Amino acid sequence: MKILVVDDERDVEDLFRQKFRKEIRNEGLELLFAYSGKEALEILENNNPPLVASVFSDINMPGMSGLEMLGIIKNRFPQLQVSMISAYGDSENYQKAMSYGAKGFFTKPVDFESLRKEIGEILRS
Amino acid sequence: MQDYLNYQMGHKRNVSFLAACLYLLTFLTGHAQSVETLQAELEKLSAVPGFASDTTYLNKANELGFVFAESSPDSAVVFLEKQLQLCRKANYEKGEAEALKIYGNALQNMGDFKGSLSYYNEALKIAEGISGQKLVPGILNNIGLVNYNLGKYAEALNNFYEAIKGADQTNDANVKAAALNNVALIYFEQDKLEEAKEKYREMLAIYQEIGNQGRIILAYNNIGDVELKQNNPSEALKNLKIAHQSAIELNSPEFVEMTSRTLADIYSALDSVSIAEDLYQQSISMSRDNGYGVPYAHSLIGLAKLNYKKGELIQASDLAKEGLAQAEKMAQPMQMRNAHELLAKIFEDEGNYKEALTSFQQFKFYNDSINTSHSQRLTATLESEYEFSKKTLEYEKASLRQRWIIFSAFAGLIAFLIILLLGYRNKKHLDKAYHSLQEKTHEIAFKNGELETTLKQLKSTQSQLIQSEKMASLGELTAGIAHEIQNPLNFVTNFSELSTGMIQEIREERVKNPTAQDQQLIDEILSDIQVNLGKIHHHGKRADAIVKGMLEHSRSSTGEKVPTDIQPLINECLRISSHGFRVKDNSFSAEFTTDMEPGLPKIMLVPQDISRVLLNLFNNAFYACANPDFRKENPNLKPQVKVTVSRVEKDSNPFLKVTITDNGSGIPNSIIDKIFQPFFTTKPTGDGTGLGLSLSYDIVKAHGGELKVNSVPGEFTTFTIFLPV
Ligand SMILES: [Mg+2]
Repeated sequence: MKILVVDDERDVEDLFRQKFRKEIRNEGLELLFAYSGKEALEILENNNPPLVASVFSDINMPGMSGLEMLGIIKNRFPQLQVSMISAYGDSENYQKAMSYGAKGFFTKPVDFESLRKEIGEILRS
Repeated sequence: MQDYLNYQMGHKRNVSFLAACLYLLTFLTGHAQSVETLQAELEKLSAVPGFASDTTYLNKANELGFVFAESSPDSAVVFLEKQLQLCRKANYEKGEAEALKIYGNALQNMGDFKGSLSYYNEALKIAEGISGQKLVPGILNNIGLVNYNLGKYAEALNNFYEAIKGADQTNDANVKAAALNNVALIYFEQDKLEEAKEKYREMLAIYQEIGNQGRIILAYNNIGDVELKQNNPSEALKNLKIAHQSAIELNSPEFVEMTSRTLADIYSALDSVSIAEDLYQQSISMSRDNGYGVPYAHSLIGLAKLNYKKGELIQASDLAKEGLAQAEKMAQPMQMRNAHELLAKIFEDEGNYKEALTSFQQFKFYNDSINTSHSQRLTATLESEYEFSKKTLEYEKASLRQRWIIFSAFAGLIAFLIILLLGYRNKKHLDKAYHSLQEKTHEIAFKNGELETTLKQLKSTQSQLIQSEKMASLGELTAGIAHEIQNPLNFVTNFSELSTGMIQEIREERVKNPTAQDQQLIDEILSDIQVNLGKIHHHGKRADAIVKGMLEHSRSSTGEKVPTDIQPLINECLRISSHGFRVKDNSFSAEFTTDMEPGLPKIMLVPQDISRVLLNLFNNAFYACANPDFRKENPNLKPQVKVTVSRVEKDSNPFLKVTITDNGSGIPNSIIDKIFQPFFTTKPTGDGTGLGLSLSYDIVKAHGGELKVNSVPGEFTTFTIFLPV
């Protein structure tokens, strides 16, 4: 089961790999990382329907913003689940994400327990 | 300030006339008479048959008309119409001229300057026909006042001088003193302070001879005012002490208030704070009780200044605001200017830079408008003086010729005396020319000094402005900076939590039977912990650097150039600026690309200053891209900011060239020349100080570099910075 994480901060990769060490080792979770919206779209474009089960994306990134990317993904792959992760939990960001069709909305610093729950659900589905 | 007369003449018409006509009261009646007494006397006189052609009756009626013109000009006009007819019927020219003049007074009091001028001119025509021409100088003086009120200073000055000449011939001390006062006032406004003082002294001597106590006080007060403006407060104090004492003896609230206020200004200049405070307080309470609006504003602002000097900011601010409100009510640009100047300082000390800037801009506005009208008047008056001296010369020449005809009838000895006399007069003319030349030299020297002070003030203002611009741009950046700090702090939190969990895992593993322990797992976790600690350290340092950078930005620049790698500086500024924009407008996203030549040398620069330039230019670029109108017009255009850095040769010297290009709306050709001017901004009020680009320009210049702009409206804007290697 592949999950794509999008964030312009490279250390997010290490953080996720360590946090989900058990899931990676025992439950067949495979994490892919992209450092910009553009890169994420390239990964998704490689296969249609994409091989990725779900996307978790930062909002605030140079170039294409996470919300913009969300709009494009939902347009092209309406079935793909996308959740947003943002340092700003303000209602405007939240409502925009939801109206664009986001599955979930997490604020930074990420509460990994609820994220783990969400990923667990994806793995079991 | 020379408040009393300034206020009276310059600003409040009805009061202004009082100053002009006070002498008329004394000269007409010798003593003030009430409307009731005058009406009673007229009643008595009109009982006599044929009274309408009796000059005693007509003179008395003019006295009543004069008092009416002061107290209720509307009814005076009706009364004077009748009076004029009576005088004409009686063929009493002196009475008619007098009535016409009083009619002019009434119209002037009603603010109808044009109308009053035509009545004065009619009065003048008749008065010139009456032998002795006794009425002429007074009318001329009144005409001068109308011209003064109309802002025609040149003509006014001519009228006053003619009035003085006429008053000399008719031995009319009151008119002469009044006209001298008016001339002095114009000199004072022109900053010809010595001349103003001289005229006031002549006026003082006249009033002392007549024994007019109130006017003596006024003269001393005005002389003191001049000396205060000449930066000679100790001389001014001597004169004001006399004036104040006399005012108390005379028991006149108006003069006591006026002298208290001037004394307060003097003590304030002498740094005798507590005495000055008491005097301002006295002026304030008297002005409030008696409704003297302008003095009230003056003393409130004066007291506010004293409080500011003592560091009592709250009190100073309250007083200055009250003074400002009062000055606005009375439409006093000078006092408004002073209040705004003080408020700008107070706000700055309070750290309220936004308000400080607003007040400073107001101050500048009033200051400029005062200076403009001042210099316009100066030009006009100089022209008139030239005209006037030409006329005086002709007059003297003509009288010389007359004398020649008379004296030539006498014998040789007398002729010899005439030659002597002519020689003497010629010498006098030469002296006069020399004197006026010297005067002009003094004037130039004075203006020069004034310009130097202005320059000094401008320099200090500039440094204040730089500081407020800095604080304003810091405010703009706060959002971007907060985001910059949030990310590393999250990593510190996350990686430290992770590591704590990992240590727990190791503990659990070590509790197991040694043979069952997974050594490989323990090693793996330990190396992860080590990596994590490295990351915590790295992100801690990152947050630290951001905070330091922010502090550096708000601190005054040390101005010290240090060898700096420009690449990280550009990256940091670009990040902060773009984050700031995203936070403000999260629907906004601009692609930014950088193209930096590898292996660029370090260059000598002041990092805080150059990062201010970069932040400014980046913010402008993003602002241009984000322009909602432009984006609506070009929905398919992807906002883009491109930054390049390269090495170039300019005039065979090595430079670093930084270009910042945005594909926003561009800069119209009509304003591209103005964008580096201070206070020029296209942003809506409150969005920009209008100082960013002008300061950037100055900073780059100070680095020996160049800042250039190139733009095609609707396509792109490129700013290029050249910095010497
Ligand atoms: Mg981010």
